[in-house]
Amino acid sequence: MCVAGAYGLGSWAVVIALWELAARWGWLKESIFPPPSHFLSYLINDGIQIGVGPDAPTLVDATLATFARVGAGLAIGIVAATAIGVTASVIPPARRAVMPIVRVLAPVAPIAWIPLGLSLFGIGDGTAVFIVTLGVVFTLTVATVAAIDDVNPELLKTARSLGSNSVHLWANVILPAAAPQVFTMVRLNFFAAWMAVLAAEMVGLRSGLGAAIIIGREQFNADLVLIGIMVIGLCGFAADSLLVLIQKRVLWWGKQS
Amino acid sequence: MRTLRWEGVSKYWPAPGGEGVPAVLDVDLAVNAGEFVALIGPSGCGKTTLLEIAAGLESPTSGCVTLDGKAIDGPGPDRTLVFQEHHLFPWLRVRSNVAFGLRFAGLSRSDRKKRVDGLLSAVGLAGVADKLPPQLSGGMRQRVALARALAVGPEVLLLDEPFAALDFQTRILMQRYLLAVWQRFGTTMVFVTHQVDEALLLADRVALVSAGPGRLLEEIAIDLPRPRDPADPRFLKLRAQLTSHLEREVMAAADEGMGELLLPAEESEHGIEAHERVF
Repeated sequence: MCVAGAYGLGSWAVVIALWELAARWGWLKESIFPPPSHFLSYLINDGIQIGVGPDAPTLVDATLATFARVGAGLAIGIVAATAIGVTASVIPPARRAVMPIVRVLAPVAPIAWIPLGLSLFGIGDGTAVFIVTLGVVFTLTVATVAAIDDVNPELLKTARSLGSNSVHLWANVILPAAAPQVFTMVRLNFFAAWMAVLAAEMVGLRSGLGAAIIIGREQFNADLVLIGIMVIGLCGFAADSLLVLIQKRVLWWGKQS
Repeated sequence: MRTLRWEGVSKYWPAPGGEGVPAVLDVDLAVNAGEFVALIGPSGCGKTTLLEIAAGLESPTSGCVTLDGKAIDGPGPDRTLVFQEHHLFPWLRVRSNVAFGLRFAGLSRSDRKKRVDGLLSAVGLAGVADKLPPQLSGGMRQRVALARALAVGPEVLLLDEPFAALDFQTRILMQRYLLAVWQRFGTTMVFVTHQVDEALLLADRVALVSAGPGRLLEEIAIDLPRPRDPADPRFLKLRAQLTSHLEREVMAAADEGMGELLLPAEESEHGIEAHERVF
């Protein structure tokens, strides 16, 4: 972990150094592609407001807004997918009725829900949450049903032989056994959700990290554009690292059951 | 006497079109309270099905299994199962795995803890009570599984090749543990195995099941004192007898699946010709 971290920082140092040198040597035009020393000092010195006026949000506000949207959408998506997945697994007719719909909607990219979200919820958080929820709920439902099907039948027989009734069996055996596999899918879906919210923020919502980049472009502020990209990348990386940590520390038994 | 009794048990697995594939046919077997009975037979002969019906996890197509005269119609804490794989819940610590079935037993928290601690020290695992299953060796996991099955205080323990996945040394150790558990708790044991030696070392009585669909062929009482000596001439005689019967069933089970090379001598001439022609 530490060695990998050192390599990661090292290769980023090389990229930044080359970028910096390229700017010094005049290979990159500073107004379009400013070097890190330029936009990072802008970040440190000025603080950042996105847009103009006293009410313009800061970069921290924008980051929190984006995280809140992704978080709320993912949470609703996970709860709904678990509910649909469990229902479909318990009641075979429900499975036959619901799964064809779910499997057709699962491949739809989250970004494709943006126009519908905007016309249903207008410009605001509702649209973002709607996009994330619809973007993840169907794939997660497919994953949940598959994970439940994959639970070792002998594990269930063991639990039933020890007296587990069906409610207890679901809460204490099936869901814990299926959780790691579903969570892997959550992790994969996180990026799709993250990107969908950013795209929605760029094209319609006019707030959050995605909007920062568009506003930067409109104001010919290349520093803001690059800071936006950097923050998006780092936040996505941090969130994914957190999900990996949860996978390893909390739902670690994926390969054991 | 609380006898576990299979009465004319047949089980057909559903198959498209026909009446189903028979797994076991018309099995009658009685296991007395406190008795140790081994079921032995070739792979696929329906031994597991017989156990699962007794556990209440499968229902027979015809016939029934009774415990103390009452028909079994579902799983119950009076009969618990131990499988070849330990099937511990990996997310639960050893202690919670053993306590799994006790949640339904209506015991107080302190009584539950007392029982779990007692069982863990009985199988030599008191020191690992707070470990997680992946941190244990194969033999330890199987001992946890044994303790978990015993925790609910079953009258009958149904064991489905419980030591088959263990290495030789661990298996010998586990056989000792099982005998010690049996002698201490007086639990009735129904032990499925395909190893003749294991059956002869452990059981009061060995029931031989035919190649599938499984029928009960014969029951052999093992009237030897414990601990049993595999070099005892009586042990060797029983071993030879049981091995030849089992071999006959294994060959019957394999009859169509093994090719001409394994057919009896008078038929194999043709097989060798065929073999030579191929090359």
